[in-house]
Amino acid sequence: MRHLSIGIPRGLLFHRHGEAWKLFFRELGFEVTVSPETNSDILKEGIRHTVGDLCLPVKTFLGHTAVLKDIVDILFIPRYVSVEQESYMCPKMIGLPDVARACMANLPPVLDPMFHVKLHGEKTVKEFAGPVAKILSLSPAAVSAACKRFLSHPEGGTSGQQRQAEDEGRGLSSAPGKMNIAVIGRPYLLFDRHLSKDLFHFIKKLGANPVYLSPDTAGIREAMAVIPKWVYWDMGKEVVAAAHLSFKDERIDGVVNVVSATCGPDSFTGDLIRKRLNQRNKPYMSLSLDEHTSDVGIQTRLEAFIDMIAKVTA
Amino acid sequence: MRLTVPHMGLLSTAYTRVLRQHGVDMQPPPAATVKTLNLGVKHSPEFACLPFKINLGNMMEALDNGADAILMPGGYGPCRFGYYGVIQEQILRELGYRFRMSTTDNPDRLSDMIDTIRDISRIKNRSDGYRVFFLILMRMAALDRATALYHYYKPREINRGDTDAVLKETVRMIDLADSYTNLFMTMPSVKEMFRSISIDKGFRPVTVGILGEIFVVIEPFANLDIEKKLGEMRVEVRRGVWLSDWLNDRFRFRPFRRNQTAYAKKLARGYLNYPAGGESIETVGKTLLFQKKGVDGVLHIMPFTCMPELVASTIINRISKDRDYPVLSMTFDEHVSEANIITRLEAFSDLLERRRNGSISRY
Repeated sequence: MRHLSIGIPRGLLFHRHGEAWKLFFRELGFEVTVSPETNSDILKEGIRHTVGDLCLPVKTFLGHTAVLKDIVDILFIPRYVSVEQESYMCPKMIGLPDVARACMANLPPVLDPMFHVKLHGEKTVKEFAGPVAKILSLSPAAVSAACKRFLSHPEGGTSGQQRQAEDEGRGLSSAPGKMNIAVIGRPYLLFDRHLSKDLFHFIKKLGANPVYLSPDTAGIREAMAVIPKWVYWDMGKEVVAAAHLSFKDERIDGVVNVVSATCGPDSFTGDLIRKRLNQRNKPYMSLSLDEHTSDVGIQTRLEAFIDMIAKVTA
Repeated sequence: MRLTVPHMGLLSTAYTRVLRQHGVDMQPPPAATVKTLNLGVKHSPEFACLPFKINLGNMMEALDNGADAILMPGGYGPCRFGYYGVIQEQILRELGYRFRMSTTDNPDRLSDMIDTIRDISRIKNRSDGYRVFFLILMRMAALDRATALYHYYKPREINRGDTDAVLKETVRMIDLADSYTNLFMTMPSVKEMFRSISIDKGFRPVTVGILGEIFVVIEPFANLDIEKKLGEMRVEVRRGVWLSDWLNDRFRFRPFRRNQTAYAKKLARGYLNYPAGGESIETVGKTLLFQKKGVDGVLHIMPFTCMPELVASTIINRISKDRDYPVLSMTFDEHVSEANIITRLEAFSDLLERRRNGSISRY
């Protein structure tokens, strides 16, 4: 083990690429520290450091950064600009390392390699590995190789937490009388139990079966053909595709879209989903979350939603 | 086909007359009013940004006035602007409007712009397309030039309102200059008209750099005419975002003016190391530039929930702390009030004034 510990905040893209990042640094021989699961103290800390109207997931991310900043030697906050030719990440993720540095004055060095397929194409991995090798004083070839092994796939391995939540939400129930509720939304909201108020669990408690559909490339392509223009935000596109699949699947009784209140892309995709994709008029509800959202509020709405579906189908 | 294009600052003045001469039946939306905004807000997604809502209101009013085709520029992100057209079309169709919608999906590619012009007008020849497009660009640059002169003369004018009258008149003159020759002949008289305003020559006004999201910066209706308000408080505006610069960065019609985005990218290094879409890099880079140039403070304006500018505002807040430089970020949406804006502008300009007099040491 080398004597440098690398901190990874448990927020935003960690919920998609986290496992891959951990493996990547372990392969290079570093100790990795991930911040604990979100709790109200972490969120409060994030809000304290934020200026302006940044969205809930970014505030949470900054809270995680604050937790780590005094206990690790280097923070890993990569700049994901695009993971494929057709789409961008949201601007807040593109500026994330700079935003973190701007919000907290005394951060340890931030390792912020750029992942930008649109710009670098074939060379993306090499461009990503370069700064990592430089800052950690490793050979670029070794870093490139590790990158290729763990990061070159756009999905790059999901985090354990997400996998767990996916397991909870996987599989449609065909038991008679068991209601299937599709839950769609961004991984960093759905799989953060504190932010999503553990909604998978609550849906189960109400006797329904939560379903999380993760669309594959073909599914995304199919959904994009239904709408007039390709959605050019990476995660927005997945949300739209998941919505399309859920509306299409006859076994699904209702769809819940979980969004962060001031999410830019989702203010538009929400409109697309509601008006364009829900052609069979399936029960659909959009739950928007911010730091003032209470467990009870979410639970009441879910209860009402499920009761309503039960009444209609009965 | 009666074509309408949503307003954006003085842009419609740059193209309407020229396109009409080439057979386009233009129907510009009526100037935006509270009614426009209310229409837009009523039918837009709740958290859509302000430009979206004003654009939608423009479209509705133009369609009500007889337009039956809309041209809306598009794009491919990361800012939401590129997706405006799709959502707006969906809303308008749901409301029962019938119209033809065209978008230019790559508004920063010259060939696409020329194709668009050939598509909507009688021009079929490619080289005529270029000639007309570059005339529109030059007219836009001329309008921006007049606006910059306005910024200089407004705080210094002796008879209140003189400069506004001159701006109005010079915009009309530029509008009438419908060929390269006419435009070339008009510009000296535009300058002459501003020079004839009686001003307080010894007065050295406080200067404020205006940065932010381009629509809110250049559209007086969206920012409650902030530049005029500042001028009336005898504050000189130094604007860092110009539509003609945006166009010049893409189409290089002013070869001696440097690429502003590239320049800002260089300046912003260390604070924002990669553009986060929209005008984020300009906002950060030019905040640093304005401080270096001795501009007294920066006013950063953006629509509520604007993604790129939220990144920028977080970062310039840090610059302000690090370098002791006054920066005020203001968010605009349909709820913003005149009194709120005036109060904050007055407080900010007072602060800059006192700082310059030395009565406040640190910001």
